Amino acid sequence: MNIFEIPGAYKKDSIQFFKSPRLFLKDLNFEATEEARCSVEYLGFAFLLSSAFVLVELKLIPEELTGPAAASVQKDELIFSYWVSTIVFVLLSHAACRLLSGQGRLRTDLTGLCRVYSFLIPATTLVLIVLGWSIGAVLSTYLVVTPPLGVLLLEPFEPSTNHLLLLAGFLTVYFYLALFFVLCTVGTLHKTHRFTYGRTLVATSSSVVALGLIQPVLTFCVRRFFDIFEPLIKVFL
Amino acid sequence: MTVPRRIVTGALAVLLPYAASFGILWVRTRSIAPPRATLSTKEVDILDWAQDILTRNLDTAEKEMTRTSSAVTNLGRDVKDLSEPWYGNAGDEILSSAQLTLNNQRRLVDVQKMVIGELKLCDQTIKGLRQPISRRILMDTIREIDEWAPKIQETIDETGRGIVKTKLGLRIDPKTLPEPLGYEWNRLMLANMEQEATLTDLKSLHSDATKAAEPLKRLVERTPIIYQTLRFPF
Repeated sequence: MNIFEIPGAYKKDSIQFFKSPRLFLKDLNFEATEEARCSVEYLGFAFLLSSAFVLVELKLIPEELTGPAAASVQKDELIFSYWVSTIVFVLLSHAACRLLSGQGRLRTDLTGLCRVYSFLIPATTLVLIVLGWSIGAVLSTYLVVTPPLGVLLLEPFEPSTNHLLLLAGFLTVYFYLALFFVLCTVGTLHKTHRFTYGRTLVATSSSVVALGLIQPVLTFCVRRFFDIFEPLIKVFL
Repeated sequence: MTVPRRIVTGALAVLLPYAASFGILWVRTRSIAPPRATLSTKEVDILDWAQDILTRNLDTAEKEMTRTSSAVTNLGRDVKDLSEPWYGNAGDEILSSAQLTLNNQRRLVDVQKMVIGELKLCDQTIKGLRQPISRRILMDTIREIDEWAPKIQETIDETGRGIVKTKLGLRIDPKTLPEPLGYEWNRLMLANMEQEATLTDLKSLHSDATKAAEPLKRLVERTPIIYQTLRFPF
C-alpha cells in the first residue's frame, strides 16, 4: 500500500473494526506478511494522528501549567513514551501468554495487537480529550489526556457533590473505554494463542500489572534516551 | 432477554461503575490540598513586615476614605449655594474653583478606592502564601497588582495636576471679595490644602504597597506548581 492510500484504508478498516471487533478479528489472518506490513503502516498512521490530537490539546492549556516550569509534563516525551509503553505491553502480553502455554508467535501478536491498538489509541484519545475539555470547562480545571488511557487533572477543583457527580460520569465512560481496550486485547490474544478466555484474561491482567510496576523505570529510560536523541526525535515529532 | 430485564441490566451496567467512581472520587478528593510553599525564616519575616504595613495602611486608608467621601457631600452643597444668582460675577470665579475642587475631591475618593483595592490584593497574596491556595489564584492576584500599579500612579498624577490647577485658580486676594464669598474662598483654600495632604498620604500608601508587592511577587513565583491532583490509571 503506498503512503497516500493508508488514510483511506485506515478509515475503512477502523469503521469495520468499531462496528464489530469480534468479526473483524475473526476475518483477520495474523500469519500473513501483508497483514503484518499493514499493521505497521496503520500503527505509524495512528501514531501521527494521536500525536496531533495531543499536541492540539497541549496547545490549548495555559503555558504556566505545561511550560518549562512544569517539568513533569514534557510534551515531546509524552508523545514518545506512550508508544514505547504500548510496544513493551505487547511484548509483556506475549511473554505472559507463552508462559501460560500459548501457541502464538511474537510476530502474530505484534500484527494483531498493533492493528487493534492502531484503531483504539487515536479513538480513545479523541473521545477522552473531547470529554475532558467539557468536564474541565465546568470544573475550572484542565484535564490532560495522555494516550491511550492516561488522564491528569492539572489544577485542584472544588470537590463539591455536583462536581464529583460530573467527574464520576467521566470516569464511567473511562471505565468502559478501558474495558473495551482490555476485551479487544483479550480477543486478539485468544485468537493468536488459541487458549481459553480465562487464561487470556490472566495473561492480560498480569501484563497490565507488570507494565504498571515497570512504568517508572520505563519513563526514566525513555527520558534518558530522549535527552540524548532529542534533536533527532524532534524532527519526526 | 425481555425488555424490562434489558433495561435493568443496562441501568445496572451504568449505575454500578458510576456509583463506584463517585465513591472513589469522594475518598480521594477528601485528602487533596494544594501544597504549601516552604517558607524560610527570612521569607516569613518578609510576610510579617508586609502584613504589618498593609494592615496599618488599610485601616488608615479606609477611615480617610469615609472622611473624603463626606467632604464630597459638603463641597457639593457649597457648589449648589455658589450657583445662586445673588453672588453676581465675583461669585462665578469662586463657583468654577468650587466645581474644580469638587471634581478633585471625587477623584481623590476614586484614588483612595484604587489604593485600598491594591492594599487588599497584597493582603490577599500574603494570606495565600501562608495558607494552601491554588498557585493560579496567586499568579492572577499578582498580575492584577502589576496591572493596577501604573493606572493608580497615573490617576494620582492626574489628580495632583488638578489640585495644583485649582490652587492656581484660587490665587485671588480674598480681601477683594465681598462676604460671604471671602468665607467661601477660605473654605475652598482649606479644602485644597487638605486634598494636597490626602494625595501625599495616598502616594505614600501606594509606594508602600508597591514596595510590599515586589518580595511577594518573588515568593509567589517560588510556590510549587500543582502538577496533578488526580491521575488515572497509573
